[in-house]
Amino acid sequence: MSPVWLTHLVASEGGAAAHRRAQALGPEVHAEIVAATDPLAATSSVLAQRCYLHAAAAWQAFGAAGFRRWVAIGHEVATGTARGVEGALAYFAVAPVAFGPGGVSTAAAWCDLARELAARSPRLAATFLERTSAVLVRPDALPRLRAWLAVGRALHDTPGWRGGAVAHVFFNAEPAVVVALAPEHYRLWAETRLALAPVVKDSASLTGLPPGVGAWTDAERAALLELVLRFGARSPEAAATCYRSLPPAVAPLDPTSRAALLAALGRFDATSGPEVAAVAPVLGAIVETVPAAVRVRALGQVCEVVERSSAAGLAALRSLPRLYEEADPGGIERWFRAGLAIAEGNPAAGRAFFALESRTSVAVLGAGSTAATLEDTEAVWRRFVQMLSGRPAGVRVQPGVSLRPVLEECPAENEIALPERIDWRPTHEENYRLFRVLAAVLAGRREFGTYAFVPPAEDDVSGAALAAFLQRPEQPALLEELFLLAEGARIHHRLAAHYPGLAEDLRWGATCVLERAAGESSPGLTLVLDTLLAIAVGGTGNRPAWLSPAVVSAVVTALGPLAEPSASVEQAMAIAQRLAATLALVGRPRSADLEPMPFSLADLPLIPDDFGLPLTGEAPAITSFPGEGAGDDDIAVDLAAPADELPGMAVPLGAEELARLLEAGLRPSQATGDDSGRSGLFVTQLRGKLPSALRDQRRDRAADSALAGRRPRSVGRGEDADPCYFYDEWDELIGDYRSRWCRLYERELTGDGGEFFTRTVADNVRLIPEVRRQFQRIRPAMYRPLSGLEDGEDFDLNAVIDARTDRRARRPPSTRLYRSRVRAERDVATLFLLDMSASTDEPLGGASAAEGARRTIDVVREALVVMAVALEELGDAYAIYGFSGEGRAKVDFYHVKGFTESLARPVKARIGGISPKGSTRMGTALRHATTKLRNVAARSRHLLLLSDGFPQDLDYGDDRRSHAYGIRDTAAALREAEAAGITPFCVTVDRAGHDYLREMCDTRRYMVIDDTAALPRELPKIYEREVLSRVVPG
Amino acid sequence: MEPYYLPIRDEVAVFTAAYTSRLPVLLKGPTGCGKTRFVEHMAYRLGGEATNGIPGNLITVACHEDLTGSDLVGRYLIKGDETIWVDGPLTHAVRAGTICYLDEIVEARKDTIVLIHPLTDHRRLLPIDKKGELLEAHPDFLLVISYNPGYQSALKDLKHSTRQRFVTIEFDYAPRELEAQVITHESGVAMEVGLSLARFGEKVRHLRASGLEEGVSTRLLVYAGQLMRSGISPPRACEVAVSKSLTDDHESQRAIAELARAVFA
Repeated sequence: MSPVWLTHLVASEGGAAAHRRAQALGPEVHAEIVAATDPLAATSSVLAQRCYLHAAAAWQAFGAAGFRRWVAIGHEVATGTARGVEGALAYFAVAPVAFGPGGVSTAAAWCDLARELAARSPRLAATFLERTSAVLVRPDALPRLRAWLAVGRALHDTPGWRGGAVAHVFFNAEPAVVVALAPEHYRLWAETRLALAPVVKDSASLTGLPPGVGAWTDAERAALLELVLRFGARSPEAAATCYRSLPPAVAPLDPTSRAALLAALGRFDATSGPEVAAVAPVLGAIVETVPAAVRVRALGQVCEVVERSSAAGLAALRSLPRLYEEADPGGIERWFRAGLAIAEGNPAAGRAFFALESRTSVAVLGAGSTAATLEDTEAVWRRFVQMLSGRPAGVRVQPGVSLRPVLEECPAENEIALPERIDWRPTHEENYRLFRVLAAVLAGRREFGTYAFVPPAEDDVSGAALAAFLQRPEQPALLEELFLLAEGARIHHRLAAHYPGLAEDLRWGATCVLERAAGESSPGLTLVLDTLLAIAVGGTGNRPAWLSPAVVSAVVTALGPLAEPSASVEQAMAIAQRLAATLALVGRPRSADLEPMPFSLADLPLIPDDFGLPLTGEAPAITSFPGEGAGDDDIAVDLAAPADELPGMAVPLGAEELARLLEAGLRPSQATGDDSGRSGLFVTQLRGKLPSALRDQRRDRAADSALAGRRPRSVGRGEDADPCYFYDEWDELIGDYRSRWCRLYERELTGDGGEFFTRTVADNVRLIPEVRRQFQRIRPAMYRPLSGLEDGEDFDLNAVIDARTDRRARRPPSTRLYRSRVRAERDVATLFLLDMSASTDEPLGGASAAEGARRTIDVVREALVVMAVALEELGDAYAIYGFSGEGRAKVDFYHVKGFTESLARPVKARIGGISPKGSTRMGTALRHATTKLRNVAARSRHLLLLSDGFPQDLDYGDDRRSHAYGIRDTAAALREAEAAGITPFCVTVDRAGHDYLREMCDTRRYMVIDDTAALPRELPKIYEREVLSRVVPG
Repeated sequence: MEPYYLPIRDEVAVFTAAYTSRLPVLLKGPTGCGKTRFVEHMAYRLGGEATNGIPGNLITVACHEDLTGSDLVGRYLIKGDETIWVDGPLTHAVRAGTICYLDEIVEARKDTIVLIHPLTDHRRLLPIDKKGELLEAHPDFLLVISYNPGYQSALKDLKHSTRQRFVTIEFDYAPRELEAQVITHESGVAMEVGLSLARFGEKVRHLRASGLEEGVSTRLLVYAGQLMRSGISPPRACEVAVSKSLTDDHESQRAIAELARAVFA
């Protein structure tokens, strides 16, 4: 008869199966099994049942004696301590095969360990048995478990109340931890676990290792744990972020670079936790931008930097993508060496260097690059195009390099678009040569009449006719692209015929394109058409595999007539139209910015009528794409349309396009489509791609503004459409300029309608004539004596004496014995730069801020009115600007009066509009003023700075209370002005001004006005003394 | 030998007519476009080998900042115990009845301008203050001045009272084909090279007013041609004869070098 526990067990499904297995061993064995198991029921019938479930397997695995020992061990565990049953349940839950090769002796050793632990805490022992059973199957299970237990025991024995709890948490770890970590790292893991515990709410997530770590080496795992532990000491949050996000971030890397990265990370000190945590999720992506062959070297270099300074090392790590984008490994090697040398002497300078923030850093990197940049060569191409085409040319930046540069929408604006940099080729000379090819093509378009296009049956020859014609809604989708192809061929032939020296360059450029095409497996539209052009104009190289010979021969034949000297732009257009009608394309590319498109001419159907080629298929219509019919800008809306309503309508998007859409705030929805065979980018492929696409965009924007800083004519536009400029700033801590550190916006000042000006003129009815008279008195002084004349107002006594001596000595005397006074041509330009900071809102003389009290700014404005009126009298060129701002990203430069403007109504209004704004970033404003003055052709140029206090801004130096940074930067800006041949002079109404002005400039170059109210009277005197008396006679 | 000059428009006829009526002539045009050569040519055509002992029937004075009235008119020199009067070039021409050519007249001091006023109207007189003499011009005397509006500054402009005494012939660089002929003739290069040089010159002149103060002169192109004939490579010849001479601006020099590369195979 069966015991009660067995009867109950058999009633369940699993129990019945176990029962069958046990019975299958024969009645005697079954009886023995039941007899051996039954005593367990005295402790717990569940225990007996648990034992019985694996009994048959144990019998088979261990034999009769082994089976009895197996049961006895369990029994011992169950009865040994107060909570032994729990442990025994865990013990019997282990399938006998799971004990591995050691079998029952492993079981015995395991339980001995548990017993040892149970002496301290039965509960821990039970947990130990529950959590570690999965480890047993491994051959090295026992040594691992012994080490594991030793660590746990030590934790438990930690003095104080926490020991037990900590040990419990430790033993709760997943078996994978025991298996994955090297035994010597168990302790480390335990400590890491503890360090993270306070900040990780979801404690279950800490029982295991982060996903992916299992495949790492012991050293890598240890590096991660040590890093987290180190950061945890100062910032547990940062440590937790690193612990969670580092492993998935580095997952895409190959093992060697991963190891190198972790080794580099291992050297960061505890304080850099938050900064490292901030970049942790993208570290893998950053390292991936480095070419695989040099990754380990690059990380080794970073390592070296980290050893000197963690902050600099992190900066270097973040700079890696830009480094490898802009320079070759040799140049980068030099860059690191230069940086280390700088960091040696000045850690702050080192950090700025490795962050590519200092001017030296950018310069050293630029020297190591083989790329040709527009920044360096722009002036050459501008002149080159002007010479070839006979019309002036401004240069703007165009993203991407194409043999068929975009057309100008408004040729009358005389702009040409060139890429920001070219780095296709291995040497600088070749990249430069590609620039030459592009510039020649652009000049060729102007010289050979691309923009003189006359649309058929129209007489609109306004130059913009071409763009307008191409953009007409009824035009085929690819007409513009194909026109660029046809016209490219025509221009190429014209240039080659007219400029023998260019013919070689142009052919070489075509060869470069073919080489590039050969290395590309999924080309975008631009490259496909560039390749066709390259083949058509005779570039040497093989036709890429993705381009079908039929298409090539069709296009080359079609373009043939354009080689004639008499070919015209209209003819090129006609050919483009024919091509557009013939090559029906799958896709909807309107312009080059949609690249890469899911587009390949390889399988394009051709209609044979014009080319006599076999008909390979029906040309599919170019309609029915989401967004068709709406403007390009509407794509966003269409893309978000539910996919199930438009089956098969999903269009793979170009990376740039996606980046643009994402930036516009779009959340793309994923659609299904049958375009999978084509190239292009699917939303799911975005993971690795997006950062680089965004980087390109960012770079393009940066390039715009980079040029803007140099060319005021086509400047970048800031957030609210005001032109913006970038300026370097002097950082005394790093002893170097921070490159492109401040962004300055040129703002228009809203005026008041001129009331203030009129009122001030009326108020100063006595002062103004006085100043005028004062200036008029200066006029006679503006003569310079001229001696050595043959005739003049008076004898030049020296010459007379000389002549007399000569005469006595019987030498022919000079006849130039007279002197005269010649009116000095005064060629002077002065820029008044006003500090419009909030402090100028202060009422004068400490008076209470009563309504209507005169403020500093009012006095300054008044002084300007007096000055302006007087200067008009004198006829000297002058300009007035104000500045203010908030932080380095927003320095506002207010336009009041330019040099060429006269004191007309709008200027008067703007003077009235001068009002207190934000803070005082003086250096940047001074640099911009210097730029303004530099553009003025005057023999003597002066910069008069009117301020009410020291330079001060949000981030003008690390320490807000210290003004040293701002003062030194302002001093540097003043020196720069002097170096540019401009004479600066500072006037301040701050009585404490002596303290800092002395540091900023020479004592002769500043003046402190104690009585602010006297400024309108003082300013003309200053002008007279500082400007007029120093005028160099013309 | 007659100095070589290739007429561009009707300047020879105009000059001849002006000479016939003894109307003073102002030649206006950029540096190196052939003004001086034109005067030499015309002087030879009108006066032959020599007039009254003056070779080429022409006295040329290159004016400069320190050129004074007495440099033109003449001065007393002390010789031993005597003071003797020495005629200046202008006086010389006035007496001998040749053409006097004052090159770049605006460069000279103001007092020289005044001297030429009585010479250039119906009076045709040259007052010599120091001698108290009023010299009447020889019937064949003609005053020709030149003036380059290209680099005039506000300071150095020709006064209207002066300009309005002259018949003005305006010069500019010759059209490409003619300039090529001139270059070919003067430097001895092949016509093909001459054409390339002329095209090069024409393109460089597009930089005038933005980057370059003056366009490249025909003279410099001739120099470049002469260097090429002596075996210097075209880009190098253009560099030393044109771009370096023309400007100190590095970017412009590079751009001109690019152009030379493009034009010459």
